[in-house]
Amino acid sequence: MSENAALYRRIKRRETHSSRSVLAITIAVIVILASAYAITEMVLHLAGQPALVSDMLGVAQAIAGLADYTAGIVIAVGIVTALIGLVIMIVSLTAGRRARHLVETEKTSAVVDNAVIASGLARHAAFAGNISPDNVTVSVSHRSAVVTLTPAIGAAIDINTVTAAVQEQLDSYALIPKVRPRVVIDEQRNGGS
Amino acid sequence: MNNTNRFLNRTFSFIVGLILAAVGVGVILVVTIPQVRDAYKNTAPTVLDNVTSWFVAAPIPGLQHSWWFIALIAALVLLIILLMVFVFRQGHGHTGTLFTNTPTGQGHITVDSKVAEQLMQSALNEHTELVSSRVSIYEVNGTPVLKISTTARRGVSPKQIVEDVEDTLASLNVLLGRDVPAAVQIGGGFRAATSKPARLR
Repeated sequence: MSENAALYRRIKRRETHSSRSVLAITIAVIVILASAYAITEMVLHLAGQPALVSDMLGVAQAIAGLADYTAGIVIAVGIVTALIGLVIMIVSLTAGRRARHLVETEKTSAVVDNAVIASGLARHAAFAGNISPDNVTVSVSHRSAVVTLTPAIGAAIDINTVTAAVQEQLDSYALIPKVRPRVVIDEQRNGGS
Repeated sequence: MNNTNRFLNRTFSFIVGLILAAVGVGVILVVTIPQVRDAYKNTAPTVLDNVTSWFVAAPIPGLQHSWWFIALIAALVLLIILLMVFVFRQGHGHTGTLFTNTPTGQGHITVDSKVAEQLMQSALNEHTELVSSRVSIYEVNGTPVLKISTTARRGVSPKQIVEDVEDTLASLNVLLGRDVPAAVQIGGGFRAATSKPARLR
């Protein structure tokens, strides 16, 4: 496998991080639509037809007269534009980690969705706590898994048994990075099944 | 897995974001800071006059319109075409040929991607812990890579699935006589939520 080390590094990186193509495609489509609109206005102008909204000279005059508009509206537009730009810049620079984990294995690159890990843990936590799977919720994030059990009234759950079962499952999954379990017994809304 | 140019995606988004942020901040400055406001009020009409005079200075012979309109339209059409190419360039990377061996005196052998895809697919369909699986070949850095996307039944161990898929893959490698690199992806999703959960093992 050593000759494929670089290949697997690339695959693993690409499988666990977003390509940011939704953002890029959205922006591209908006720019395309805006350009098509500008072309339409210019062609209408050349053909001597009335403008759809305003011809290019009108737009240019409006921009030149920017300082004469009501300050509040202009500031609001400026702030919204700047914020949108800032958010786009941040999104384009951050890693964009997907909700997935690598599974440690020698032979292939393997990634698993956090949802799949959660459903596996939920099943085993329910079994260990001796309650219905419907009363277990699990949320898995990059480094931790929170297992919440909601027992029926009067039913006692041994938190250590559940924690041990969840830990054993997580160990057997061999996830990268490692996920630490946290088991919570929720006794507050225990009126149900 | 696919050969989307991620760096280009980010660069393009960043530049558009930068332009938007600059325009936004510029607009705020023009309205809020008196010096900037005065400077803008003095300069903007002059710039507008200059641009208008360029338009007038380059008429199309026989018409009262300017060459600049044609140039602008052409530039925008070019921009649209470039962006279209950019959008449709996303994804891709499938390859139809798994490998071709070095030619011998008797000829040479080409193995189609379909061979590996269908062999893997039918082998994986036997596994009950998978709701469904999809196999395809992508080319990553010039190397064909088997991509195996699976939907796990609720409650099964992901490690177990990885091991099962790797066993199947080992058989395929024996069959093909070479090691094909593989990427396994295990997902949940709608089909997992609506199908029968797995029994505890």
